[in-house]
Amino acid sequence: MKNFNVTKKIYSANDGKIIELKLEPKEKVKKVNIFVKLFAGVIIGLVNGFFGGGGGMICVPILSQVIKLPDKKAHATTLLVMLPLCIASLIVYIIKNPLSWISVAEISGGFVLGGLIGAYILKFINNIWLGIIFSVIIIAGGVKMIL
Amino acid sequence: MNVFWLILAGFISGIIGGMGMGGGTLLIPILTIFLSFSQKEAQSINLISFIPMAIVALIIHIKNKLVDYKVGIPIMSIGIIFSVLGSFVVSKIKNDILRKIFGFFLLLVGLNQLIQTIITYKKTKHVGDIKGFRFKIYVK
Repeated sequence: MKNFNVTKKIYSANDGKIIELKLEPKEKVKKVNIFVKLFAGVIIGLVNGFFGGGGGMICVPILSQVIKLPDKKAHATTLLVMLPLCIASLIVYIIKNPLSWISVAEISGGFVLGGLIGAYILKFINNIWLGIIFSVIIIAGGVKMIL
Repeated sequence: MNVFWLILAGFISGIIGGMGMGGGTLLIPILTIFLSFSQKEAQSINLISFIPMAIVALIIHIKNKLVDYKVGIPIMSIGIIFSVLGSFVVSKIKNDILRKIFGFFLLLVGLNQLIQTIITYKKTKHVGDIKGFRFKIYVK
């Protein structure tokens, strides 16, 4: 067990509710070639600029699977990467396409509120079903947009 | 446009975003399919929505010393340049074409998410019941 970080997620007591133990290899982040990082930056930047988001969905797996950061660090470091990227591309977007700020305020307000609740209820939810439902919705949305 | 639907659209995507599953990939299709925003408007709104939560979460992570600067800063610095480049490229593309490209991107993201979820599920081993608890172990 020396080489693992053990995290426990205790969901609730009694009647067969799930306790999850997660074993993660301890950090073996050593030398990652600088070109790997730069290449990651190119891909993440292009995708995020082009699609106005989604860079994080590429950044997290790169950091955790290629650079071997532990999950929590990968998420935290992704935010450090994504925040300036989003601000930079947002400036270009707004210069090129002016927005109606009233609807933006409402959507973003809802988003922040939802975000707080999402972060809170994360502990109580079965990730696997959530993952499946989310991916099916996303696939359906994708098909609808192509057609 | 009804205020209620705008807030609801943000709220639902926010919940998914707060769970770290990419709320933006949900917000953009909701805005374009149901609320008839143009693709570029939806993308700008998604960028804006991400910023306030990211700032708060980043501050918390920095305090908890979870941010790896050695990895993050090189990726970020080159990323900014290409992100700006990507945004300029987008401004040259028509909304309806961009919408189709985005749909294709969503399809890939969704399929990848589905595969990852199934892999995680398969790697989850049910080790047995102890005093009425079910234990599951994820081995990475």
